[in-house]
Amino acid sequence: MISAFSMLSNILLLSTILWMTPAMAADALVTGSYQNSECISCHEKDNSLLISEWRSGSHGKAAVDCVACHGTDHQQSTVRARENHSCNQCHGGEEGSVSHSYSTSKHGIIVRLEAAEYDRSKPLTAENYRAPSCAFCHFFGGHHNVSQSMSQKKSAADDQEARQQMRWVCRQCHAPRYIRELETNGRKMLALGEMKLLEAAAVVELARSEFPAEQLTQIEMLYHTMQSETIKALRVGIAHQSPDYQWWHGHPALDGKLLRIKGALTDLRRKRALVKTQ
Amino acid sequence: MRPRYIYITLLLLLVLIPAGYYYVDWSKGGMGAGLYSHQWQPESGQQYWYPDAFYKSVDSMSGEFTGEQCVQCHSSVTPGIVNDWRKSGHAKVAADGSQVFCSDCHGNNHQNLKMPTPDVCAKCHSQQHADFQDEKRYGFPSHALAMERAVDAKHFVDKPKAEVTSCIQCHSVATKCDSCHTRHRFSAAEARRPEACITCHSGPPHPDDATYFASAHGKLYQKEGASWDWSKPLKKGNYPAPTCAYCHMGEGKHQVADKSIWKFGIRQINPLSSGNVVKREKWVKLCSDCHEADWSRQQLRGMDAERKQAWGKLYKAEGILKSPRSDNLLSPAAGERPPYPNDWVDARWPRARIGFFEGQASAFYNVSPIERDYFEMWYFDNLGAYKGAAHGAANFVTKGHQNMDRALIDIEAEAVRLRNLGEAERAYLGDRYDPNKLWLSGEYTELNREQN
Repeated sequence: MISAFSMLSNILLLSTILWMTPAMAADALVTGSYQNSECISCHEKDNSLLISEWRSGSHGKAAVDCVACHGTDHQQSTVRARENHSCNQCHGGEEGSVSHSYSTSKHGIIVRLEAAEYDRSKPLTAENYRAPSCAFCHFFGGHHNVSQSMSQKKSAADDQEARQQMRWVCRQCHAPRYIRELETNGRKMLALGEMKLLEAAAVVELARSEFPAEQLTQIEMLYHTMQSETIKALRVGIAHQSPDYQWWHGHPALDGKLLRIKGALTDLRRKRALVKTQ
Repeated sequence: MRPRYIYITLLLLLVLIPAGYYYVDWSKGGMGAGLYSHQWQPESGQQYWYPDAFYKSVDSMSGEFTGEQCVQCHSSVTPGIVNDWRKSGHAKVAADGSQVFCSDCHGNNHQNLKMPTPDVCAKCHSQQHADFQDEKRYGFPSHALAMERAVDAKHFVDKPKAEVTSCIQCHSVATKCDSCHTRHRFSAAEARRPEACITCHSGPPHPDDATYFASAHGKLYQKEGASWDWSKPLKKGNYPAPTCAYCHMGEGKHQVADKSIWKFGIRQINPLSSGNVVKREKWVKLCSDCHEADWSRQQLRGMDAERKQAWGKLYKAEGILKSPRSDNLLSPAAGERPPYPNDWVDARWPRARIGFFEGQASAFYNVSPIERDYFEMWYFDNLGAYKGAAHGAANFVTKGHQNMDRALIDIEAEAVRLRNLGEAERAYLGDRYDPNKLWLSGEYTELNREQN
């Protein structure tokens, strides 16, 4: 069932690429400067799928509109959205974990070194680009639903579909077994990180049950960072194939937060025991 | 008559030396790799990072194919890599009409494919391979010994293998050539540029990328590098500023260890030993491609001073830490934290390890916060300052030392606090605090203990 579905979606994706090609070229011929409402009113007639894809993804839902990525100059609009810095401006900047895990990965390095040779007016296919940019993977074939290939926070069925889509992107260059092995290992690596988070959560629960909130600032801050930043660094390290983020910003960083949470609880308990004697 | 013990010693040596060799040989024969190979099994994905030990061919397709047939089929199966190959030196038709096809490195039999190792590349690139192998005689750190270094580390063996796959991605620089020359373009020009190194040489303990890009060399590269002719060899006159490879692999020599003085910063060395003085003159000669020799010597002396100062701070922190350890004031104490699963000595006679020679390099988990503070001071702040000094990024030196100073103050205050707390507990509770099972239990801790 899944493989029949994946074949179908692959065919759909391919036909989208082929169908998008002339449209892209035509886009560059339109001159002038446009605002979001103008983009939508025109493209709803010309390519309503594009607009509905955008609306159903997280960008559409969060009001990240056309000009945020494409700018207002119609002639530059496609090229601009294919540049990585269009994404970085919101996704944590160049030094943030999302962008930096990619830009130090082999994909990111190749793109950095060969950027000058790439003609970004060309569609996002392996024929045209040696290594993937942000848009290559997350808007593969020019679809506009950025969430459709993200496997995070989804129902099991949607997750399967998202993974299948991303595998197809990888398949442009990599062998099926290689993709499968790296994905499997990545999922296990992330699951281990989540176990560290669970271990920390249990300690935080203990602390909350034993001490009033005003004594828990340090523990809560450590846990919050672990939950929001450290596990994210690991996840993007895995997704973007950055050993540095998988390791130094990921697993040992989780270890450090976990042991400090345990240390903070130990301290509170030691002080409590002493206070009781006095 | 000669005393009997001479004969006994000789006889023992005759037995023990071969037995030692046999034991080391046996220890490498398990399911894993390296000295602890009997104690672990690889994750299947690790075959791509250590192909010599773990790679197994796909068996989904049968048959033998010529290079042209590989290219024909893979143009649709994996078009990206075929494109890469077409633009590579391998696809260029030589004078005798030959090309280097897929099958020359991967083999012809689709059920018995090879993942190319450095030995495969050596069939044609023998000089580069010989230079690379030659690194081994300089010991660690080196590219050629990187994989051994990873799998022979106890904390590699101790941790779940899916977790430490992250380690061997970089340490695979020893086991395949595409870490620097990405597949399937395998371009020398790419490897000459600093970015080729930074997938591994980045991050807290080795910010080679950040320190280089912050230096005058790196700034010039970032401003103008895109227009330099990268097809030229890395030698005097060809480049306006040096890159990683220009200095560390001068003239394209595939060898990063022969000028290595500071050994990655992880152990203290004497820069004025006779061997290091000879190496230093090699650096001065290299710097002299652009700078005056005396000026270069002065810069290098500046680094000596920086390192001396840094080690002074590290020894001070170590001294502070050894006192709560000997007075049993660390909490958790060595016996109250999970032992490293494969370390039976540690399990039987628990002892907190402090500093490089006691194995602090692996002590970033299962330790008390004050020990982790020292680990971070030593591994992140100190090594960041070292890289800043080596690459000419003064702000990293300043920042690294400021962070070390702050860490030192914190460690000192924490040690005093631990002592006061411990003494109060002895006075009022009559015993040291028992953390019970807090450090020995938990989702990950239990998995790591039971499954390794």
